[in-house]
Amino acid sequence: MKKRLLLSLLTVWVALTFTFILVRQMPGDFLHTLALQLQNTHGLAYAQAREMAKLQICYDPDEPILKQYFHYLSNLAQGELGRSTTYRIPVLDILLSALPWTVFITFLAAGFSFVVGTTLGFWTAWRRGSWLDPALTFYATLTQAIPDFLLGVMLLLVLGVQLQWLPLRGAYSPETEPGLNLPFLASLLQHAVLPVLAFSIPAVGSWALSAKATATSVLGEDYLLVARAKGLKSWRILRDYLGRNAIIPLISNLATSLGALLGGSMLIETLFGFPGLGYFLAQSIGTRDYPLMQGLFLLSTLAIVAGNLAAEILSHQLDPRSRR
Amino acid sequence: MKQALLGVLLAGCAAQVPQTGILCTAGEWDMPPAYHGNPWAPGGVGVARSFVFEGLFDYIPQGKQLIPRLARSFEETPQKLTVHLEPNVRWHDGHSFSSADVAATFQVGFLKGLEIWYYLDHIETPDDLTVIFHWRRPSPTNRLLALTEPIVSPAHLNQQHLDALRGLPHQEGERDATAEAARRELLFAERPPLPMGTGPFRMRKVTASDMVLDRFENYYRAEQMHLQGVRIARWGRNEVIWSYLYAGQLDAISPACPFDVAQEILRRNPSLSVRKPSDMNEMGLVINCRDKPLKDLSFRRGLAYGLDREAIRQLACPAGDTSQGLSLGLVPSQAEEWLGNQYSSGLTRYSYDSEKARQLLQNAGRELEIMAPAGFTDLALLAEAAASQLNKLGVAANVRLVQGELYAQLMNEGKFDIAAVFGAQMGPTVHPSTSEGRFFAADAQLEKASGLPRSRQAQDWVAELRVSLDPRRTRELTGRLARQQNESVSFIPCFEKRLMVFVQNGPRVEGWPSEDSPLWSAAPLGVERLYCSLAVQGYLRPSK
Repeated sequence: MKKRLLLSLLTVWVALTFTFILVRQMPGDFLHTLALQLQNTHGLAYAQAREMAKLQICYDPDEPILKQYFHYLSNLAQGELGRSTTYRIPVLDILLSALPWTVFITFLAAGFSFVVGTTLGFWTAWRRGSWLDPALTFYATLTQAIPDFLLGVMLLLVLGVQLQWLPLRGAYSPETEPGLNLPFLASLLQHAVLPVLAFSIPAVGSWALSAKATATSVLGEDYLLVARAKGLKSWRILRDYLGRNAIIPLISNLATSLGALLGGSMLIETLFGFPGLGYFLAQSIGTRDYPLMQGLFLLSTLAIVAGNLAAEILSHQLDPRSRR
Repeated sequence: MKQALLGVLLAGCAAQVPQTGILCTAGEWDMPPAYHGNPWAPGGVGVARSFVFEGLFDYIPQGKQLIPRLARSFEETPQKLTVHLEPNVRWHDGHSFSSADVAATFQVGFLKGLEIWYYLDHIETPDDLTVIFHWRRPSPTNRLLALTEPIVSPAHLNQQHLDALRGLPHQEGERDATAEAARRELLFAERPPLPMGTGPFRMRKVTASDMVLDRFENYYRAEQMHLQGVRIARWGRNEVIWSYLYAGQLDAISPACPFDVAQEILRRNPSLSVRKPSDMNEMGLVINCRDKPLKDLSFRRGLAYGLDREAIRQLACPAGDTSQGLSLGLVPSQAEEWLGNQYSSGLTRYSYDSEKARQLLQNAGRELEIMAPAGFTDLALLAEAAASQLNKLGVAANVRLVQGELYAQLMNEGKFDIAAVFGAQMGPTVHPSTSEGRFFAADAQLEKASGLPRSRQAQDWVAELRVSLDPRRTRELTGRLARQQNESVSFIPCFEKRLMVFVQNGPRVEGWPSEDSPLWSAAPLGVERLYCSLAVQGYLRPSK
């Protein structure tokens, strides 16, 4: 366990070092752009505008990169992620505000697609050769081929505009007060449907195919033959013998995918006006807001590493063979 | 169980649809927790600005009409402008509005570089209801700059900034940039959760997806105004706005919209109609004249002859007006007013002529790249259409979409071949000094992008144009600048943009003025501001 934790910490360090270098290699010199803006709006000489810009965004490219890097690490060690250069508030405030929304929507989407997808996959494996088999492959191929954004627009048009079943935007109705009250919770769930579907529709196909593959490999095992020979009912074999064994590798995958999803989907969150990390990631890239970008990438890294760690621990707990 | 779940979902649906008397539109603002109500600091207020704040007058360019808002009347001499304010006006927090608030707004606005300070010497407030603007440089535009600026800084909440500004030199050559920067940072540090103005609507709530504004019951013209509130949806992307229009969820909005999409929206939602006022700007292609082949004037002329602007306009801005082969540094619809009816005589007109273009475009030598800003549907379509036409003429061209900040930087640094941009823009002053200034002023971004040598003489002409009160001299200077711009072929205008303002006489609001109303000419000065003005003037009413 200690070894795993150390390895995870090392991964985080490598990732954040890589991110630190990468964001500074992005095309476009934001400092220069900001200096030009300040020069125009404030009537300053360029050199003065550039100095002012450096102070405004707490970033000095003339400082040696190694010094910048140690400065960044020492701040990070104190829990200081810096101030957003665009919004002029602590990056941590933005992350703490946006993270719960992204966690809510991604956990809901991942949970929903996992349950539906694996059930479908196991059932298809159980009914090998039936019409379900090609239908599932067709569904998975089709939904994987549609870009996220296009799928989102289609859902918006069909369920929101044409049928008017669901609200078109936001995380909740502004007429409700956030808190533990029924109107707010109902509104929250209702507003979550479209983004969850946009995340889940392709994911269901992908989970179903993976579940079918693992279930098919389990189907050849002797203990299933014994269960059948004992005359156990189909649903019991499916649940207790096939499902329990085939789901172990999928649960590890779920933990990993949750970590990846937490990075937020820029397009889907922008499309549905959802106040998650995706919106701020899109904005920070557009404005070259280095502190915010680094904060968001760090969060994604931590989520992915934590997901992987959770996957390993889960797999260890669920599969007795891995403990031997 | 099923019924309970269905009930909960339907209850949510009901809450989503605003009631009659609520104007629904869309716009942009920073999401909470980044959102704040400081109108001066970056990211503050957002699109609610037009509903929460108001100016002394509303300006209608067609007919040059000024409609009273916070002021009742004004009189002027070349040296000063005296404005008489409306009595009984209150801020949303209940404080009385007075001349001190007008002075405070302009004084605090100095830190944000309000253009008026180029002309303004000082502001005098002899009594609570009178404001006198004393000019350092009398000019044809300063009246509008003073009368239409939104009044956003209540004196009773800005005393510390006003004190800090006292003694700070305001005149060029004497200004103290460091002291100004320190005071500006103090100003930016204020982050009230919501904006507070004198306007007809008061901000109640802002979320990531919606802004909710209620009618301000103590508004001084409350009896004239019939609307109950405003709901603003996040714009996000144009595709989202088209969906909202299709669903009847917006009462007024002006998105960029391809022709077929607009037709389909209007067919599906018959309660919508479109108003198409000029946006007082021209869209086209700025050329980087630093390197070959674009360095050669004859090659640039070839491009100007080779682009079928009518076809480009049909694709990129179906409501617009095709440019007639002249690049005047003026919006075409304003050319006659500022240059006279013989304005085109003696100028080279680059009308579409593919044969002539082929001859001039023979030696491109390399593939050209047309840059367009991502997210601007009309500019992206303009670039696509132009690239396709150039390819047909034998000049290899492709399109690159670039994100906003990077786009501005690449333009500034001249790292592009051709870029789709806004060219002439008449701006809030509707005066040629504004649009010619975009090409020739000392800080002109378009001339800088083109890489042509800066003309000191043209800069002087623009500076003189800004303060010229003699109509004959104004025309002469505008003509000289227009000629210089047209013959340099550093910018190829494609069309004068017309807005497509979709308005819905629908379930919530009715009473939109007809297409031919001069009121629509105010749309380019801020379309949300126009919606608010129509509400205050009593045009907009709750639907029956």
